[in-house]
Amino acid sequence: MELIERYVYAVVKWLPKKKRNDIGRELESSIYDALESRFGEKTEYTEEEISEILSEMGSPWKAAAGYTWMSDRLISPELLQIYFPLTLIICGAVTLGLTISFLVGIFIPGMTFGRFILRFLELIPSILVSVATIVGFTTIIFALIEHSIPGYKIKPQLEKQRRQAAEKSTWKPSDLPAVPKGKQKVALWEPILGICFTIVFVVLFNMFPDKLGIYYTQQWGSGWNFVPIFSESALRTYLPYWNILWGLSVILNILLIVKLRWTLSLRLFDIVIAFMQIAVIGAMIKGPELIDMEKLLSYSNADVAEALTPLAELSNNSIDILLIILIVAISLGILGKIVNIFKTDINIRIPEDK
Amino acid sequence: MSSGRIDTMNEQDKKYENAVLEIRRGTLLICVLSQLKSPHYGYELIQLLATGGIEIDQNTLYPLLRRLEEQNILTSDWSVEGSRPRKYYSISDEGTELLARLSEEWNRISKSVSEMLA
Repeated sequence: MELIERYVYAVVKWLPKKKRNDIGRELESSIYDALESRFGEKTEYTEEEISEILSEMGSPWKAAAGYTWMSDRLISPELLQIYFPLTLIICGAVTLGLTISFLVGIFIPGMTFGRFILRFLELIPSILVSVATIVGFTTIIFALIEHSIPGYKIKPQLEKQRRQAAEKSTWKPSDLPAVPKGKQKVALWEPILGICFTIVFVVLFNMFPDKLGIYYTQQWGSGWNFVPIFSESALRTYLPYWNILWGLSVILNILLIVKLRWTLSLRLFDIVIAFMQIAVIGAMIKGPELIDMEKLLSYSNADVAEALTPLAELSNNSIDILLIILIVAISLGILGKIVNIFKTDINIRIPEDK
Repeated sequence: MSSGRIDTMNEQDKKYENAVLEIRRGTLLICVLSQLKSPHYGYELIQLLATGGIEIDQNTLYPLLRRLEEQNILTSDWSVEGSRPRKYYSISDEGTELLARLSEEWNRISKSVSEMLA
């Protein structure tokens, strides 16, 4: 019976919430109807019987396809004819432009091999980002055109070809992934929020490190002053590692969004990232000081220096203590993640009341 | 529309099957509406249509029924008679009117086609 649950879940997974329940119930009901009519009315059906019926119903993709909100595609074939060449041309033009400016930029005095490599390495992501942006915008524009022109029909011929192409790969009920239960479930907002915060950190620490600090004002209305907190050497040393870790966590969150469940490998990935975080924080305790107290104090004027002196007394040892606490917290987190692995992904049978 | 068999056919048969599918798609709505003058649930409807010579699979019929309900051509009801709850569909007043007009048109078309084939 779990096979049926898996099938229904796979079909309704991505359907809009309002319809999900009703479609799921109807689908389940019709599966039982089919089982009854072929194998007779029973309280339990064997896995072979269920598999037979499910195989005939076809893959969940196929079943879900009819229910999707826009059963037409985003951009019809007629518009696609224009869309593809146009997008390719614009992307090509932009790539060419970026490459040319790169080439021009390297023929300047003072160019070293190192700088050349750096510029080259910068070129690739900027091309990728530009291409992505262009593709995104043209797609949106064409989709808007498609759906706002009244009476714009899709040729049934092509729709059928598309459906047949989708059915090509053979599918068996045993392919169905298990339904996420309890701790395996991933609520969509969690990884999305995770990605958002990670992007914020990445942008803040990379683009505006000098904006991270203490904002203070002497009197209301007299304007804000600012003192940067982190020392430059600390940032330069540690930031690349944090960038890598942030990149990994974005990848993890994207995988979580796609799968909508925790698997053993994803949990292990999570734990590995946590260990790496501990390693970097450990290095931070040992290495160049995070907060440049002298710079801080020299920066500000007398009043502020006075106010900041207690902060100066907060010696770097205390910062280290904070970092150690952070390590302990992450370690406890790792223990929790390991416990979750044994609870959910490794099937230890805990007797349940049915 | 059981299209699973298409993969195993040769070119000519494939073209034939595609064309036949087109005809079936065109007549599907009339056939479905005609069977829902009394309430039926999805699976039942598939059997009814099959008895009448119209083969259709679940993945086509159920979304169609849902769309027709959204357009007020059908009404539905979850009923708990019998061993399990089932969703029953039946034709609405608007649907009945639609069916009447479609039947007229179908008769016209069918007559024209017969004449053209003669």
